[in-house]
Amino acid sequence: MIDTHGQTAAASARPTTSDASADPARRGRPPRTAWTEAQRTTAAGYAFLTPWLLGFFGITLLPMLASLVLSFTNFSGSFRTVEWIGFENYRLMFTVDPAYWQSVRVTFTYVLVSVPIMLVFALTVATLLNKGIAMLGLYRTIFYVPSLLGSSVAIAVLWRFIWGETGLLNNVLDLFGIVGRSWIGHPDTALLTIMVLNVWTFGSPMIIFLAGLRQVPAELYEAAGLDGAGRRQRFWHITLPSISPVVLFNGILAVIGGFQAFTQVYVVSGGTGGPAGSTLFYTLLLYQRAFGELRFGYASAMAWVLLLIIGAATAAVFASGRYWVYYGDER
Amino acid sequence: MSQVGKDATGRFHRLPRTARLSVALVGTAALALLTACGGDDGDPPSAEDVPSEGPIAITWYGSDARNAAVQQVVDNWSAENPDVQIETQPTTFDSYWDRVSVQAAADNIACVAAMQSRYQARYEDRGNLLALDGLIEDGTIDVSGIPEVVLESQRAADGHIYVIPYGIWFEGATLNVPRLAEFGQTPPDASGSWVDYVDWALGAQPSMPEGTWAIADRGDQITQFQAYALGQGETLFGDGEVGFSEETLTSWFDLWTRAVDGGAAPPPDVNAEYAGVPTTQSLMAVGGVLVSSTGDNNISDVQIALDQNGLGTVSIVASPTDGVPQVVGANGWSISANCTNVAASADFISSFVNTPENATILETQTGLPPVTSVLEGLQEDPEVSQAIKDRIALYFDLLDQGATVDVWPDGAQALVSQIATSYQEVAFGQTSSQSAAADFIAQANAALSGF
Amino acid sequence: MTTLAVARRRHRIVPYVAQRTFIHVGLVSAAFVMVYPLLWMTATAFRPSEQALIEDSLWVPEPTLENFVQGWSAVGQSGFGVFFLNSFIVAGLAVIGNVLSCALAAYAFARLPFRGRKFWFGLMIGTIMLPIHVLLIPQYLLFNALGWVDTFLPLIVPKFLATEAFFVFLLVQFFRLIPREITEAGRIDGCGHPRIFLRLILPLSVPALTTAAAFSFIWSWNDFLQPLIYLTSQSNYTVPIALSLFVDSSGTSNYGALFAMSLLSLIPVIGFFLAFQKLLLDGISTTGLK
Repeated sequence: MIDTHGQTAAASARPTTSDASADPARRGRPPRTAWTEAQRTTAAGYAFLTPWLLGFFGITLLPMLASLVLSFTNFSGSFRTVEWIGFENYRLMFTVDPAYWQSVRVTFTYVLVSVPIMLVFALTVATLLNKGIAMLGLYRTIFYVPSLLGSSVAIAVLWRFIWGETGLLNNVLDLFGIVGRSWIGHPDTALLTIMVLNVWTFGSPMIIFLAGLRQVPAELYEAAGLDGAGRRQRFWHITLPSISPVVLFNGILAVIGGFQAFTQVYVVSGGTGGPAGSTLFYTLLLYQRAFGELRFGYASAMAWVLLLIIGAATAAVFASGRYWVYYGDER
Repeated sequence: MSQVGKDATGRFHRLPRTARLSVALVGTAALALLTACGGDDGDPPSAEDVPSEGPIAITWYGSDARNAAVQQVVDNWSAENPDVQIETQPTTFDSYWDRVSVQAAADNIACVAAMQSRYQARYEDRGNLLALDGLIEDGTIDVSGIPEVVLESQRAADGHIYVIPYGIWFEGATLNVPRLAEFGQTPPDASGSWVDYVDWALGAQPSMPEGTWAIADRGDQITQFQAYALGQGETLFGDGEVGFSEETLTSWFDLWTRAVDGGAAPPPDVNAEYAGVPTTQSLMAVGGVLVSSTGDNNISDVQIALDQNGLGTVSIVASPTDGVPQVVGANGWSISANCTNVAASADFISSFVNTPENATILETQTGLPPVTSVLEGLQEDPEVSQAIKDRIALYFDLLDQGATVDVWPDGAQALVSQIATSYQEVAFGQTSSQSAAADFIAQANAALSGF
Repeated sequence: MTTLAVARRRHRIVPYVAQRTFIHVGLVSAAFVMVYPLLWMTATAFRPSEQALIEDSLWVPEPTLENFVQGWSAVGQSGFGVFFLNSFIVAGLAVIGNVLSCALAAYAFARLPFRGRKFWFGLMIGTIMLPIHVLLIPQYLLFNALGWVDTFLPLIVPKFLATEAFFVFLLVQFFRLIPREITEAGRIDGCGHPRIFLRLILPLSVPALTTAAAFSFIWSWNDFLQPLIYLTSQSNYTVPIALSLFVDSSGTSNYGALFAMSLLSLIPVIGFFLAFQKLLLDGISTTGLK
C-alpha cells in the first residue's frame, strides 16, 4: 500500500462514509462468490498490474540481478574469462581508486546545488506560464527547446561559445574592465557551467508542473477568491498543496536524474570529466570503467553502490513527503 | 505517505543470507543460460575447414563520406560475389566500441569487424576473434604486398594474427610554415625531440602577436608523451605495466610547465577548453597556435578551417622522437570467432586490401593502404592530391627509419584520459609534477595489469 | 461608483501594466537564451558546409540548401526517408505502449489498496535507480537469446510491459490528485474497476496522459544508446543513429549536413509537442477543471 496513512484515515476518521459507500455496493450485487472486498481489490490490483509484472519479471529483473552478480566478479566483457572475486571490486572502489571519491564529491555537489535550483526555476516558470499571458503556447514551446536539443553537438559548441576564453561572458566582463578566464576550462568553474546547463534544460519538470497546475480544481481558487486571499497566499495555501504530489514526483526524479547525470557532461567535456577531474560525474566514471576499460564487474559494483545512495536519498524525500504532500484520494 | 523508497531498497538488502544466496544463484544460472558456450583451442583453421554458409555482416567505423566510400567497395565486391548476402553496419568510432563490447559479451559480433591497433587486444585476448594464420598461409587472405614489419606487428601475445591492416595512420608534428614566416620565424628542426620544440617555441614567442602562441600544449596527450619516451630510450608499455620511468614522466610534465610559464604555450584553462573540440575548431585550426601535433588523417580538416579564415597552411612532419623510429597505427579487418561464413569473409578482406581501385575509391579516408604497390600506384596517379602524396612519402620515410605498428595492450585506453587528468592537476597547481607522475604510473599499472 | 473607487482602480492598473510589461520583457529575453542554439543550428544548416562551426553569427549572407540536399542522401543507400520511417515506427509504438501499460499499472498502484502494493511500488521505483550502462550487456544477452537483435522488438515490447517506471510513477502521482469522492461515487453506482478506470480516471487525467505521451514520443525519438546496440543493420537505423554518422572523432566530419538533418529531425518532435499542447488545453475544458 502506498498510503497506509490514507487508508487508515479513510477507515477510521470517516467510518460512516466508508461503510455507507461499501454497503449499498455490496448489497446491489448478489453474493456470487465468497470473496471479500479486500480480496476482490487484490485480484483487481494484480489484474491491472499484470503487464507491469510481466515486464518486471521478464525484462527488468534478470538484467538487474545479473549486474548484481557481476559486481562480485572480474567480468570484463567475456564469460570465458569471468571469475568470482567476492567483495574485491567494492574494496578497490572504497580504498584504492582515487577517481572514485573524486566522482562522489563532484556528484554530491552537483545534486545538492543544481537540483533544488532547477526545481524552483521550473516551478516558477510553470506558474508564470499558467497565467493568461499572450502567446503562452509559444513561450512554453520555446522554453522546452533546450530539453529537445538534449545531447546535440550544438550544446557543446554553444557552451564554449558562452563560457569559453573568448566567449560571451568574458566579452561582457570585458566591458567592465574585468579580465575573465576560460570558465569551462578551469577546474574551479567547469562544474558550475554544467550546473547552469542542467538548470537551462528545465523543460521536462516545467511541463509536468504545468500539467499539475492544470489539474488544480477551479473551485478551490474560487473559494479562496471569496475569502479575499492574496496572490501569494493563494500560491502557498492552495496551488502548492494541490500539486504537492507532482512536486514530490519532480523532486524524486530530479534527485535520481542528478545522481545519474551523464549526457550533458559527456557532451560538454567530451567524455573526459576534465579539466583535472572537476566534472568527473559518478556515471561518467562508471561509463569509463565499463566501456573504456571493459571493467564491467567494477562498474556493476559502482552501480549498486549508487543504487543504495539513490535509494537512501529517495527514501528521505519520500519520508519528508509525509509532512507536505497532500493527495486527492486522502482528502 | 510512508517510506516507500527506503522500504524497497531496504527490503532488498535485508534479505536473509539464504535468500541472497539464491538470488545470486538464480542470476548466475540465468547468465549461464543466456550465453552460448564458446571457445576452442585448436589450430587456426585453413580454407578447407572453415564454415562457408550464410550471409555475412560487415561492420566498421567512420563518418558519412568515409562510410559511403567503404560501402561502394563492399558493393563492388558484392557484384562479383552475388551468392553471398551482405549486411553493412557502419557507425561512428566511439559508438562502434560501445556496440562491439556488448556484442562480444554475447559472441554475436559481425563476421567482418573493423579493429584498430589501440583497441584490438581486448578482443584478441577474450577469444572473440578468429586466428587468421591458417588462411594467410594457404593464401586465402593475400598479405604478400604488405610490408613484413607492418604485418608482424599485428602478431598477438599468443603468436597468432587476428587482424589484417587496411589503413595506416600516424601522428606527427604539425607546422604552419607560412604564418611562422609572416612573423619572421622558421619552423623547429623536425628531427629533434619535444624538448627542442619547446626551446624553439620559447625563443620564437617574442615575435608572436597577442593571442597567438608558438606551440600548443601537448602535455596531456599520451601519444606525444610516447614520442618523448621513445626519444628517452623508453617505451610506453612494458609487460603488464608501463614501460617508462617516473623521472621521464616528471620531466615531461616539467617540460610543458616551462612552455606555459614562459608564455610560449596557452594557459592551462585555454588548453583544457580546447582539449575536446572538433578538429576544425582546434587551436591549430583557428590559428591560435602555429606548431602542434595530430594524426595525418586530420590534416585536411585543419586546412579547411585555416582556408576559411586565410590563416596559412598546415604541414605534417615526423613525430619529435629525437631520431628514434616512431610508431604508427593501423585500422584493420578481423573475422569474428562466431562467424558462420568465414570463407566469404576472408575473401572480402583479401579483396578489400589488395584491389588497387579500392584505394582510388577510398581516397585514404580509412587510412593509407597497407599494400606497398597500391601506395606506389597512388603516388603515380595524377588524380591524387599532393597532400595525400606527401603523406605517403612521409610514411615511406618512417618505414625506412624502422617504424612499427603500435598495438596497445588490453587496458591501455585508461591511460588516454588519465594522463590528461594528471597533467591538468600539475598545470593548475593542484599537485607537483613528481607526485602526479607517481600517481599516474600507479593507476596505469593497475589498468594494464589486467584487472 | 465613488471617485475613491475609481482612483483605487486606476492606482491598480498602472502597476498591473508595468508588471505585465516586466513579465514580457523577462520572458522574451529568457526565450532568446533558450532558442539561441536552435537559431544558430538553423543558421548553420543554411550556410555553406565549410563554414560550419567556424562562423558563430546568426546572419547568413548567402543561404544555401546544399546541406539538406547532400545530407538527405549522405547516409545509406535510400536516404533519410528510411530513418524517419524507422523512428516513427519505434516512437509511435512507444507512445501507445507506454500510455496503455503504464496507465494500467498506475491505476493499480494509485487507487487499489491491494495486498503487497507497497512492496511492488518500492521495487518499481527501484528499477530506475541503476545506471543503464551496467544493464546493457545483460539486457543484450536476454534479447539476443530471444533472437530479437536487429529488430524493433527490444525497443518496443518493453514499452508495452510498463518497464519505464518513470511513466508509471508519473501517472500514479496524477491519478492520486483526483479526489476520492469521485471514484467512490462510481463504486456506489456499482461500477467495477475497469469501468472506473476507463470512464472516470482516464478522462480526468488527460493532462497527465498527454504529458506521458509527449515525453514517450520525444525521448523515444531522441534515444541513442538502445537503438545503437539493438539496431545493427544500416537499414534499421533510427534518425539519431544516422545523425551521429555525420560526426566522427577518427576522421572528417560533416557539420553542415548534421545541422541540416538535425533541424529536420526536430520537426516531428516540435510538431508532436505543439499537438500535445493543444491536447493539454483541450483536456482541461472537457474535465471542467481550470
